[in-house]
Parts: sequence; C-alpha cells; structure tokens
Amino acid sequence: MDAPNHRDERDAGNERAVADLTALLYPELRRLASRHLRRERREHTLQTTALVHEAYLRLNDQREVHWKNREQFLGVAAQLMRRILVDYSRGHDAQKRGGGIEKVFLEEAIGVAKEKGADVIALDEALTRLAEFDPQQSHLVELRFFGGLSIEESAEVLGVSRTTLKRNWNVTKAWLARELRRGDEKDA
Amino acid sequence: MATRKMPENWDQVKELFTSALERDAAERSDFLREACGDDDALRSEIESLLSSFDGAATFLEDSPAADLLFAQLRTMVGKRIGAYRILGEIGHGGMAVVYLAERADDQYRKRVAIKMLQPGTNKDEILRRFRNERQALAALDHPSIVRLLDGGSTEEGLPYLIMEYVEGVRIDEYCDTRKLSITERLQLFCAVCRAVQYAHENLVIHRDLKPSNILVTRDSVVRLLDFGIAKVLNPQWSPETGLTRTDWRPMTPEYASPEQVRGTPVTKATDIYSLGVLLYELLTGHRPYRVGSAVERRDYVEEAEKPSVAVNEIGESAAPDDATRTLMTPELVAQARAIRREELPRRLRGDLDTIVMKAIRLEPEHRYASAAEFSQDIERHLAGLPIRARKPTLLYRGGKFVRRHAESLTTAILILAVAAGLAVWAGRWLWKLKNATEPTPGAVHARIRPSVAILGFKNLSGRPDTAWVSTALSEMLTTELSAGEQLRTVPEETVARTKVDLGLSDVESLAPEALGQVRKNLGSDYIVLGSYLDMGKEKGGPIRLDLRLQDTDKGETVAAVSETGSEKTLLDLVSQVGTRLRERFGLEKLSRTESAGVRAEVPLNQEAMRPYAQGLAMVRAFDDLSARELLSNAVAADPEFPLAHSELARTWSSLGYDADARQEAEKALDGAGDLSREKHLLVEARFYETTRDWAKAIEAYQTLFSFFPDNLEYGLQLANAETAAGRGKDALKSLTALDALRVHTKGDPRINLARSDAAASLGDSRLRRDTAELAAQEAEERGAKLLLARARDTECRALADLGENEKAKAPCEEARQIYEAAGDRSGLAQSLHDMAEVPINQGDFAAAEKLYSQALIIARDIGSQKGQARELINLGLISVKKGDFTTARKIYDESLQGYQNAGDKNGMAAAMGDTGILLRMQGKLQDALNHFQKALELSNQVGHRASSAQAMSVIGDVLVEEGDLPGAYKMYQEAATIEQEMGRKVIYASNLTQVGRVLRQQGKADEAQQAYRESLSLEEKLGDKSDAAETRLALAELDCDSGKGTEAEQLSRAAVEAFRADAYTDEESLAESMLSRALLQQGKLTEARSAMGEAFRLSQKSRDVLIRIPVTIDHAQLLAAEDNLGGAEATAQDALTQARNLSLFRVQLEASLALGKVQMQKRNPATGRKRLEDTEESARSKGFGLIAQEASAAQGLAGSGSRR
Repeated sequence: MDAPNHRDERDAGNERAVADLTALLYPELRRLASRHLRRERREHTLQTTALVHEAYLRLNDQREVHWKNREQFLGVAAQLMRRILVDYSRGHDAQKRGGGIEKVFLEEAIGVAKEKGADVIALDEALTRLAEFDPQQSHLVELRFFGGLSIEESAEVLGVSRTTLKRNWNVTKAWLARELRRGDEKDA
Repeated sequence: MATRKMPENWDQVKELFTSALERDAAERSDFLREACGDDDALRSEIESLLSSFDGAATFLEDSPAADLLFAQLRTMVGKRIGAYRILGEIGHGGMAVVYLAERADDQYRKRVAIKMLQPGTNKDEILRRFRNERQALAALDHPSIVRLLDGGSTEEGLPYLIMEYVEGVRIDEYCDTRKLSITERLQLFCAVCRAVQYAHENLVIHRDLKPSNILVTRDSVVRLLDFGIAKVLNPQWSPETGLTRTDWRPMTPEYASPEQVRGTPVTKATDIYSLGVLLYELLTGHRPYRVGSAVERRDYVEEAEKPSVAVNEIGESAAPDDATRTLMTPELVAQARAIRREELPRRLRGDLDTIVMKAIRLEPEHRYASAAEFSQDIERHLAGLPIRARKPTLLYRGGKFVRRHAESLTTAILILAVAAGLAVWAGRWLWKLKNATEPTPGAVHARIRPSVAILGFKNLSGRPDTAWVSTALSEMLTTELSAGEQLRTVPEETVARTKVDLGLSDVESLAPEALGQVRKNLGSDYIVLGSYLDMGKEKGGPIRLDLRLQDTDKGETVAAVSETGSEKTLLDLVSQVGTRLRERFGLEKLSRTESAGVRAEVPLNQEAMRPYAQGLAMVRAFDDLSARELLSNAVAADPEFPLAHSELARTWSSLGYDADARQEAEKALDGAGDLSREKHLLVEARFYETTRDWAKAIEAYQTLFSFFPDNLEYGLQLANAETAAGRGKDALKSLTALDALRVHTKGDPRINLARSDAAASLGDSRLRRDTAELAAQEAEERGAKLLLARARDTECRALADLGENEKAKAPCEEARQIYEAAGDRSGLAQSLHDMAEVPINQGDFAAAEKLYSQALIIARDIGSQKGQARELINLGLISVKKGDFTTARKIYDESLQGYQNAGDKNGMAAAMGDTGILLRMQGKLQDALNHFQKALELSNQVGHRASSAQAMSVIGDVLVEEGDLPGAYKMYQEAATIEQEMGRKVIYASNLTQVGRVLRQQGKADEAQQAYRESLSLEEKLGDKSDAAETRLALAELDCDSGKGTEAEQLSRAAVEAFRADAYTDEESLAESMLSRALLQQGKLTEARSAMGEAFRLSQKSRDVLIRIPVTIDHAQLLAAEDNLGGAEATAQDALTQARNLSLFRVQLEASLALGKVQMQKRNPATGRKRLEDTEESARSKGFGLIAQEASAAQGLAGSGSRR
C-alpha cells in the first residue's frame, strides 16, 4: 500500500505548487495580453504560443518551485490548465473578464472542449465526483484531457501500468459521458 | 441522486464493462445476464454505461490544451541534448528559448544553459554561422565572460547553443537592490568594460549588450552572457531586410546603437554605445532614450535629423502606459544610490556627464575608441584625475558642445520631477542628432603598428625546381610576423604586384633609393629580403636561409639573420627566423595559441606546400590557368587546408566559374575554424564575395577594417565590396576615411582607382575620369606600372562615355601596351574591350568588332568563361547595329550559355535583356517581354539592383507599346526609385524622361514637361550628351503638341546634332523626323521635306520597327501637307498595316490617327471620321489621352487645307 500514500503526498505538494502558480499566472497573462495586443503585427497563433510560453516560463522561473522530474511538471501543468479553463468558464458569463489574446486563447480551448461534447464546468464537477471513488481515473482524465498527455505518458506520471489505464479509460469515458448528459437533462 | 453517489461495486463495474466491451454487441446481453446473475442493478448500470459509451467515441479524446499549449513544452522537458538533460525553461526571447539542463550521466551534475532556437528560423544559415563563430567564441576565456560550450542541432533539426549556467541577477537590479553608490556602480561598470575590452581584443563584438545580458553573481562577479551570439543568430541586419524582422532579431532597441538602427555595419563602437546606455541607466535610473520598438526607433532617429525637432519637447513625452516599470521618482533614484536627492545632480554633472555623452555619441568615431579607454576615463574620474574626454578636441564647437551637454545627466533627473517620473529624455539626444554629420567608417584613434613587407628571397642554387621555396618562405614569414597582431604585414599579393611595378627582382639587399621607392609604394617601415640555398630533394633538401631586415626610412640594415633547415621543416626554419626578428623589434614571443594559428595558415605537408606556393606564384604572374591546376593539386594533397581552397576559389572566380568558386569558397570557410581570427574573417569575406553576398562581405571587411584600421587593404576591399553592392556612395565615404587614415597611404593610387570604380557604378563619368587621372598621376610618380595601366584604362573608358572619343584613344593604347609588356593578359583583354568603346561611339563597327574579337580570343586563351561571354555579348550588339539579327541572336544565345555555365546569373540577365531588345526591335513584343521578365527575375535573385532597374525600364518600354500605360508608369517609377537610391543620376534622369513620355501620352502635358525639365537639367549637369539629346527630343515633341513649332525646331536640331556626333543613327532618324514635324508646323515645307528625306534615309538603315514605322507615319503627314493625298493615304495605310501585324498598340494608334486625318482631307470624310472615332475610342479605353484628344479634334476638321 505504498503507492497511494506516495501519490497523495505528491498531490499535496502539487496542490501548493498549482496554487502558487495560478496566482502568479493570471496577472501575468493579463499584462502580456495587453502588451501583445499593441503589437498587432504578429499572427494570432504566434501570439497565443508566445503568450502561453511566456506564462510558463514565468512559472518555471519561480525559485520556490523545484520540479522533481518531468512527470511532476506535466502533472502540475495539467492541473493548472484545468484550473485556468474552469475559472475562465465560470467567470466568463458573469463578467467579461480578461481581454485580448488571453480571452481568445481560452475561448479557443473551451471551444475545442465543447466541440468534443465536454462542458468544462460540468466536466470539472464530474471529475471531482469521480475522484471521490476513483482518484486515479480522475487524475488520468485530467492528464489526458487537460494536459494533452498520451496514455503512455499518463501511465508514467501516475506510476501505474499502461494496460490498466487503457482498460479503464473506456469505462471512465462512458461514466463521464453519462454524467455530463444527465447534467444536461437536468438543466433542460 | 443515485448516480451521484459513489458506486460501492465500482471495481466490479469496471471489470464487467471492459469484458462486455470486448465482446460483440450481440453477445453482450447474454454475457451480462450470466455475469451479473440476479444483480439487476449492476446489470442495468453496466448497460447504461455501455449505451453512453456508444455515443462518445471522440469524447475526451482530443485535448483542448494539448495543441495549444504544451506541445513544445512537453517535447523538450526531460529530453536529452547531447550529454545534457533539460530540466526546465529559464527564459525566452523572440526566437529562442533558454533551458536549464544538467549532465545526463549525473557524473558531476554540471548545470548548463541551452539556448534552443524556435522552428522557422533559418537554421542552415545559423548553423553555418555557428560553425564559423564557434572557435572565436570558445576562445573567449575570461572570468567575466560566460563561456559557450557547444552547439548543434536536435533530431528535429532545431539549432541549439550550450552555454555555462550562471546564477546571478541583472546588473541593474543588483545595483538597485543592494543600493550601490555611484562610485560602486562605476567600479562594477568598469569590470564590464574590461570583459568587453578582452572580447574586442579577440575580435568579437557583443552586439547586444544590455542589463539582462549582464549578470552579477552572489560573489559580486560580473558575468556577460551571449557574447557574439547576436551575430550567430542574426548575422546581418540590412535596411532592406531588417525592418520587417525586428520582432525576432536579437537587437534590443533601447540599447542598440544608431548604426544598428540604421542597419549600417556594426563595429566595436556599437558595443561602446550600448555600454554608454547601460552606464546612463545605472547612474540615472532610466535610459537616455526609450521607445517601443526598433521600427519606431528608426523613424525616431531619422525624424530627429530634421532640424524641426526642438529641445523643448523635454518632459512632454511621458509614457504612462508602461506598466512594467515602477515609477522612478527622483527620490527613488537617489535612494537606490544611497545619496541625497539634491546631491545626485551635482554628482553626475561634469565628468560623468561628459563621459557618458561621449560614449553615446551618434557618430561611432566620436565615441571612445575602446572599452579600455572608456573605463580608464571612469577610473581617472574616480581617482580625481582629469578625464580624457575633456580634451580640447571635444570643444570643436567653440566650447558650446560641452556646455550644452553638461547638464544632460542631471537634466534626466530634473525631468523626472516634472513629468511624474516617466519622461523620455530625448531633447538633448535629438539636438545631437540634428547636429551630427553622417557617420564615416575608420577610427580616428587608430593605432599605427610598424609595418613589414617580405620582399622575397633570391634562389642561390638557381635551380628552377626550388624556386617555390621563395614564395613559401615569404608566405610563411608573413604569417609568422603578423601573428600576435603587433606588426602589420603587407600582403604578399601586394608585394608581388609592386615588384612587377617597380621591376624588382629577388635581390639580397636594396639600395637606399630603391628602399625609398618600396616604402612609397608599400607604405612599409621595414622590409625583409635575402637569399636561400636549397640543394633540392635528392640531397635531402637542406636549406640555408640568409635574410636581412632593412629600415626603409633610414635605409639601413637593422638585422641580419642566418638559419639552416630543410624543405621538410620549412615552418620550423621560419619560426626560428621569425622569433629572432621579433626580438629585434622588441616584441614578445608568440603564445602557444598564436603559434597554433600560424600552423593553421600553412599546409600540413610538403606535398601540399610546394604546389600551393607555386600556385600563388602563378596567380601573381597572371597565369590563372596554371594557378588553378597547381592549387587543385595543393587542395588534393591537403584537403583540410582552408587557404588553398580560398585561393583556388578566387582563381575559379577570376576565370569566371562561379559555381566552382562557390564550392571551393565553402570548403575554405568550413575549414577556417582554426585560423587566426583575422584570417578567418578574411576567408569569410572572400566567401561572401564569391557568392556575391555583398552585404555580408561588406560587414566582414568593415569588421576587419575596424579592428585593423591601419590596414589599407581592408579599407580598399571594403570600398570595393560597397561598389559591387551598388553602394557607390558608401564606397566614396569609406575612401574618404581612408585618405585621412595615415601618412603612408597618402597618394596610394589604389584609393583613387577604387574611387573611380565607385564613380563608374554611380554612372558619374566625370568623377570617374577625374579620379582615374589622379590615380594615373600617382601611379606614375611611384613607378607603379600595372596600376598606371588600370588607371589609364579607366580614364579611357570614362572619356569615351563622356563622348570625348579622340581623347580616349591615347590612354587606352598606353594601358594596352603596359599590360602586354607585363604579360597581364586579362588586363590586356580588358583594355581591348574598353578600347572598342571609341569606334562604337564613332559608328565604326568594323573596328570595334575587331577589338572585341581580339579580346574574345584572349579570354578563350586564358580560360575565362565570363570574359568570353562578355565579349560575345558585345559582338552580338555589333551584329544588331549592323542589322544582322540572325547572327546577333546566335551570338547572344552562345553568350547566355557561357554565363549559364559559369553560373553567373547577372551575366545571364544581361544576355536575356539584350536578346529581349533584339526581339523588341523586331516588333515581337510578347517574346521580348518574356525575356525582360526573365532578366528581371535573375537580377532580383542575385540582388543586383542596377540590373533589376534596367530590366524594369525596358519592360516599361514594351508595356507602353502594348498599350499598358499604368503598368509602364509603375515600372519606370520603380526603376527611377532604385537608380535614385543608388545615386546613378544619369540613369535616373533617363527614367524620368520615360516617366514623362507616359505622362505625355496620358495627356498630362504639364507633368510631362516637369519630368523632362528635371531630367534635362540633371543630364546637362552631368555632361551626358546623348541622354540629354533624348530628353530634348521628348521636349520638342511636347512643344509640337502645343503648337510651339519654333521651340520644337530648335530642340530637334540640337538633338540631331548630338546623335550624329555619337553615331546613333536610329535616334538621329527619329530626331530628323521630329524636326520635319516642327518645320511643317511652321509651314516651312521645303525644309521639312529635306529633314524628312534624311530621316527616311536613316530609318531605312534601321532594323528597328519602332524607328521605321513612326518615321513612316510622319512621312505620311508630310505628304498630306504637300497635297499628295494619295501618297499620304497609302503611306499611312502601310504604317498601320505593319503596326497591326506586329500588334504594336501605340504605333497602331498613331498610324490610325494619321490615316484618319488624311482620309478626312481626302474625298471621303465619312470613312475618315469613322476611323478617327474608332481611334479616339480605342485610345481613350487604354488611357492614351493625347491621341484621343487629337483624334477628337481632327473629327471636326473636314475638307482640304485643314493641316495641323
């Protein structure tokens, strides 16, 4: 029973890192967005890349965050992305927050999610529920969907075998798809 | 809700779901029934999940974030680059990301920084650059310079550079957080200067000095990052290409020097400027000058040169939206410097202000000459000694300069108070800008090293098989003595030329008079010469070398040295001799690195040394064919030796084989890594010359010249490259700087020759002639025969271009004789070629043909591919003049083939263009246009702007004839813009005339008049007679249009005369025709008839349809005026038919107009009116306003007697 404990510990550490980073990232994104907007010459995609890159570089520059390894970094990145998208989606209707590039970029990401049948907020809530009884699968979805990792990479991050993850991926998908659909029905 | 609760049997659900999924849909329900038994809830849960799964094939499969965000990040972190594993990012710039990495083998966990270039950068060029720079950068070994460790490219092909990893903070932050005092800041800054000085001594310019590139470690050690990296990442920044790429070029606008902003070559003065900005910032808390981007900055600099910018702008240009900076109030600035706010201005006033202002002078030559001088002045200030920047030289504006600037630094502080902290300090800078003159290259502070020329050694054995040893010894000794850069050696090539010039053979010593002559010609303080005795290979090749060092000024022998060695160990022999000579000069021994550099500059083995030396001797004896063979042998014997490749490349090049030359030059460059920095740069410069990448060649020579400002050769080569690049104006400026450089070079004919070439490229024949004459005088005074020949040749050519044909003959003949006597056959071919210009001008095509044929034979003989192609083009031109179009076409094709073989796109463009002209003369407009467009394409490819402009101009001509006036106008305008930029005034003027013609056709007589007038005044000023005649003719036409017959007559007569003098029969024919029209308008029928007779006679000789048909049209009008209406109608009809058959739109309109008028006069005005109506409509539809107008007017003039 070593593995879960170990993971929990890591998650706790990650939580702190993500909290720090998120706080850092938002003002950063806004500042960058406004600066980039003034330079209209660049292509939109380039702006996005540069923007996000810069944000990440800033994350990495923080002395207090020491990445133990690539896996940890990727895990945190995925969590971070989930948080950014959810926060953005939540605040999106209430107030038109963010501006320019930041907005464009996040909307693009959320657009992709919607296209694939996933409302970011609903998915986030469902994942939280899933984590209550199957944290590993919840984590897997986070890594794959928000972090863009492959099954193989996820297996490395989670420290479990690929076959197990693969086998369980489908049922998790089915469960989440049903959860989201039910959410829709309830709303309707 | 049930589903919201955690399923107690989740593991079971997962298991069964997966198993069910693995089965076919039909079997699932049986399977589940069996597996779940009577647990219906379990079964329905799984069935529900299965049905949910069916509709969710793509659900969650694509990540919204992956593509957008992490793709690159994920691929890099954890990856291995060489021996290192990437840990994470440290920072990034526009084109590169910097990663922190450590050794993957974990041996000693060494941390490095890896700069990875983004995809999309020109990686081949960067890698090549990196290979070139690697040695220079790796050699920088200084505690304050962060080392470059390695470089390469990843599997994906992304170039990267590996550097030492430094933990530290930016110098500005360091100073502020530690609240360093002004004095402490100055001390820290001096440490930066020392590092920069060290790099400059190693010929590396930083190019991108700024606070983020200067870190201070915990132990207060300054570490400079990215030395020379800017050059690797972005080797060249030119005004043409640079501005659009500012986003990713590494130059940081606020710290970039004016020359970087302008795109003029970068020297070490650039770093001085950036250092000045840095010091400014460290002292005052903000930059002297801050703007958003390089683009704005460039505008700013140029805007500032306009005198309208006033000093009172100070304080008004705050930048409140700049959120990245804290508000810097004077209080904060003072606080961070541990000084009272009131004291700060006092502290900065005076010395410090003067020092900083000197460093950031707009003109590079007025800044500190070196980082050492800069820091010395600061140290003097700190020690309470008077600073050098206060020397009277700076008071050249009557003391005003210093006084006006005395407040500069303090002003900065004061402004802060006014503008709430974010003012851009600009006014003072602007004041300086508008008072500044154009920068000129060349350092005023040049250190003049003693110079030595190795004159060669007499072969005492007299055996021809050991003659090569003299060349080899001279070459090696030159290398040996120039190592360490304490002596300036005259290149052996120059020595060899001078020996031919002065008729010197190898002797053991020179008499004082001869020494004086050598000094005058080579500018050398000392010469080395002597003798050797080589018993040859069969005797084991023992060699005895006796040499003496002579002072060319005092005429005495300073040292005599004898050493023995063998053919096999020539280099050892030379270094023994070299060491002893260095002792005589009181110079230090060579360091190990320097000795290694010398070894890299000679071939590895004797098998290579011998043919290399022999090859060099052949080059200097003007025998390129033999040289090529020998150098090829040398290269085969030692493929790693870069200088042999480089020399071979030049030989290929002078033989006219560009592709081969390029290949060799590339090999030379690839192997140049071990050469001394100077030789390396030279190889690089030659590579760019070979590839005709003039911008880069200029940059390389600029660097060489700025580091060795006492080396005339580099200055000359710089000017030549500038001329070749079409930057004749810059070349003239560089040469002016050379003049001022040093006493020795004064009166070196090569300077005026280079000036003459620059003038030629600018189309300024007068300046060309004058400078050539000066060069000839100087060459004569020194007895420099070959230079005299070149000068005479140039003079002849300039005279011919100025129409002074008779005067041109003598200098050409003199040049020819000298070349012939000296055995310089390529010079001989050149003089014959230039000589032909005179008979061409005089219409003696047979004589010209003979000269070109002679030149062709020589070109064939010496194997010059391009030389042959060039003579062929000229022979083709003569065939055209003779009206033999078939032969002309054949010759042009042959020439094109020759250029193609040589890989000379510029030559190909010329051949294409001339073929196009041939086709245009035949009226094959579309065919001609295709050729012109090809020529334009080729010229654009090689970046030859003059050729491009020329192609545009002829394309415009075709477009006019095809009826596309707007298209033609655009082409002419573009050509004119290029010519104006290049300073080729004569051609610019003729472009203006072309523009005027379009305007006239469009019916815009006033604008046309204006263009013609401007053109004519330029042509008259520059003394170009036939071009002026061309414009006069155009003006005459305009006068005729508006009924000013008298004026038109006068202008036409002048044109006729000028064309006749230059034997331009085609043009003369048009001028006579014009004259006839002018006379006709005045009613002078008899005279008009006589002029027309002449025009007609000449036009019949022409094969150019655009001469013949227009003259025919004028003739028809004359016939009509003479009441020969039948003849007039037939003639006009004939012209119309010809024009129509060839689809010559413009001429067709003219012919149709004339025919319509005749028909109106004749019995059948209805036919005439109809024709005129059609003509009017047709003309109007294509914007030929003038013809439309005339056609419209003519419709109302029925009946006889209605002549115009």
